[in-house]
Amino acid sequence: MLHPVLVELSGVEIRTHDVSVAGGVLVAGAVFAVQVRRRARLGRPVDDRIWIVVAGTLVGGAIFSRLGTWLQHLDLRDNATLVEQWAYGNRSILSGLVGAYAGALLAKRLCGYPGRTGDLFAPAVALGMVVGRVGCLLSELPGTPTTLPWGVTLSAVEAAQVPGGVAGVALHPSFAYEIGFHLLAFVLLLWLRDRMPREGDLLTLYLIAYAVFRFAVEFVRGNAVAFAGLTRPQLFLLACAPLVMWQVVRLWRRSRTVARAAAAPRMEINA
Amino acid sequence: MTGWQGSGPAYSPQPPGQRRPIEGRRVAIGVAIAIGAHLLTLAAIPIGSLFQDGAILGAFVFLALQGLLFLTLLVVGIVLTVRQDGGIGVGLLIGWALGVLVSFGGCVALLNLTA
Repeated sequence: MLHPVLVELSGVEIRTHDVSVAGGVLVAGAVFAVQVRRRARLGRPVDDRIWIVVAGTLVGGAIFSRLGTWLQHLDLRDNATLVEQWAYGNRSILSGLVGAYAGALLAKRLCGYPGRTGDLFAPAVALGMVVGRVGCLLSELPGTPTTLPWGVTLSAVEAAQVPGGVAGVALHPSFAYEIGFHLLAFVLLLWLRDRMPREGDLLTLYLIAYAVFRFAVEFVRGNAVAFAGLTRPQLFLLACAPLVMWQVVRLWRRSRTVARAAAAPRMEINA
Repeated sequence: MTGWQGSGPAYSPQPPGQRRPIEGRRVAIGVAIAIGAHLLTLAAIPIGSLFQDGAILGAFVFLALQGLLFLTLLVVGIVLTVRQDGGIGVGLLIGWALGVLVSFGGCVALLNLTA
């Protein structure tokens, strides 16, 4: 099942994970471009400063995806140096998303971009994640042991290729779960993109859904437990929980306001 | 127009308050420059393999070049963008971020080859 090396060219290993991450970024870019063109066709052209927002998103994502897992230990001496972390450290999707979001906000503030851009990014991020996670599916530990019929079993050779790998035991295909989530999210986002109460709410909805899903799937992901039976991504998501709840309440209130406003003219006509 | 300002529409002074639009073509040029610079840093690895402790030397030089590239592209990209160059600065920033994906995957691949 595992194919950490996609192909070998003249002795140079082309790693599956790196190719899938690059592919994910390219696919996300293509979907983003399609969204921008669609807006123009619908008579709502996107300001050309969107390029600056894209730059902020990518730079923030690139930096935080590498440095987001840097200070994992309370004893600072146990953490890698900055150079070690940048060169050899784990990359984190959650950190990357935080960095991308912060980068976009900063870029918009600096260039004075008018309006909200989340609806353009949401489907792109979802489909990009589908492609990117294929690399994880083919090169990382699938998940924790399971008795479910769809568990995947690693051979002895495959188990030796991944840290914590166990041969002959059925494991949760946690990355397959995540690919399924993002694929479903992509379809739903396309359906919802013209139905949200306010521009930009699409990305908020997607991030909330992913936060909830990621918290749940971490129980079968096989990441190291850090504190109170929870992994580091779960602890990070718990820390973000107040912000998530606040956004959920805002979305719900906004949808109620829009629904009431839509019903008001009909009530006046019927009065 | 005075001589030192150059000639042609590319060097025409903009009316005050009018922002120069960002063009996709110029963004693409900036992206290509940045990614090309990334790929050049990868050359440090096979060149380092010609010396003693080749893989270590190559990786060290590669990381040093990456740090220099980061600072250079960030500063130049931001300055050009603020000066409203029409997109090359933005392209440098986008290209740097995209290149981080290519160069480190390539670094690992080349280090495995030279080790």
